[in-house]
Amino acid sequence: MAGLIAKIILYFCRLISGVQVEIKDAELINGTLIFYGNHSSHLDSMVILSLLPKELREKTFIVGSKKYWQANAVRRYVSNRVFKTMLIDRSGEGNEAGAFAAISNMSNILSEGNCIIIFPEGTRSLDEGVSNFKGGIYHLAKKNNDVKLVPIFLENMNRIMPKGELIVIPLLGRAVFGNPIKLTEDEGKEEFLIRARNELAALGRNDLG
Amino acid sequence: MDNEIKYLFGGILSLLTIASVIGFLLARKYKDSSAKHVIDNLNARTKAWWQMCAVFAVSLLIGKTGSVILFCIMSFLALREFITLTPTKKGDHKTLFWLFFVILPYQYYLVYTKWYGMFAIMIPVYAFLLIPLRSALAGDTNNFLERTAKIQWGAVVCVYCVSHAPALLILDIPNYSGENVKLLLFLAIIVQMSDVLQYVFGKTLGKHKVVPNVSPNKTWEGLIGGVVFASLIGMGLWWSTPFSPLAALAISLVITMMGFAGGLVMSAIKRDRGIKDFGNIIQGHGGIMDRIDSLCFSAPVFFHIVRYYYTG
Repeated sequence: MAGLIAKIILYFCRLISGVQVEIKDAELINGTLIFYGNHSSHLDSMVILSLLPKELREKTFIVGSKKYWQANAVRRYVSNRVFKTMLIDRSGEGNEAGAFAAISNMSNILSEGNCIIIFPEGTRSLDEGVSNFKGGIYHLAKKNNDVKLVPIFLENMNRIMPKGELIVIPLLGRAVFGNPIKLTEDEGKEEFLIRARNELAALGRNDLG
Repeated sequence: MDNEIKYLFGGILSLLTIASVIGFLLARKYKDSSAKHVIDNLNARTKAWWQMCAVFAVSLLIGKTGSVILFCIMSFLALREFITLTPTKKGDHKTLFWLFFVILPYQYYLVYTKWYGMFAIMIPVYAFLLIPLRSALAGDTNNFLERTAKIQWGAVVCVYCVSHAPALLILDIPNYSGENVKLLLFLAIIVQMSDVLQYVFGKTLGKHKVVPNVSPNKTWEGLIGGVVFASLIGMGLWWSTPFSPLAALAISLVITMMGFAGGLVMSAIKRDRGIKDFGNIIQGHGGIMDRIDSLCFSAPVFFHIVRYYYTG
């Protein structure tokens, strides 16, 4: 039952977002991966999931906010039963113990050979631009330095379902999978956050809007 | 089903078969030459034509309901492509909801219920006024006129204009009742043949560009060849219409010229947005909008010619 619901939700996401996929090098998208993308809509994580090949999709966890995913019965069911999720309590933002626990939970998922989807900007942005990354992705990369990070640029999601809107307008989206990156040995926190962000932003094209 | 419809479909079927055979022979002859790319595209286009004709034929044979639903879906997909390219903002979100989920289906509902008066003014009057109002209520004034105008343009071109094609089915033409589906076929055949012939003449003989800044693919040779030959085909199909042979020729000329105008205007939009195609839903052709750009301009004019001169 949950499997069927997952299929229906993902098919529906694919249909309404009409996503055209572009993959720089499909050969490199394998193994244990951290997918990271720009965040502008609640559809984002589901759309990324719907674009992954079956064998990757089945082992990919969505990292999301506990407040959002536990808000009502439907979302609770979807996040507990339908998809693999790892929920973070963001209420105590800046709370070091909480952040540390989240990083170590994600690391556990990765160490079992699974993949995760994260949005390092922290929150949904109102436009297409990529904001500065929060530190989490650096600590995650440092703790799991053998894991590759795949940037995924999502376009038009904020127009299909913007922040604060409940209705979906079925425009055509686009998703670009970049080549994976890794934290290099002598790379500092700021350096890495800027590089990871720029890798993602470079996948967008700026001729729209 | 009357015999004339069978002849029209038979003709389309023969043409597609010939195109497929030629494509097959060309592909075998130029297996590894530089022309391979062009021939592959040609064969992809032919294959897509088979699919489009199959969908079109099935919808038409279902009757008015089938045709209305087919064109409604085409409008929806075309509008989706059009609005995607239009930089609308968050303030337009609810306006777009109205356009996609209320105005568009209602326009086709009006065709279905044959309410001509409302069909003719719903979008030019009511939707025209509602669209800026809803955006104004959302409170974002940045580029307000530009955003509103673009949404209104999408509504007219993708919904209003396209809906005139199935609306041919609701015209009451003396001595032609129950046969209107042939008018829709006539329009579709002339528009698409004109497109194909313009492409063929343009690729083979094309030298002098009509408006080089808008489209390098539209040449005078292609335009004249396409318009003349598609119009002659139109004249040759007069027996399926209420028109005399001479009227069929004149009407076909109008259809093909309007079709060219539609293609040119849409090219200008694509050029302005810096893209080649509106989408990629049809293999080898691009998006729905790339395929029906000529229909958008020719359908309303054809509809009104028939309504004015032939409905008595």
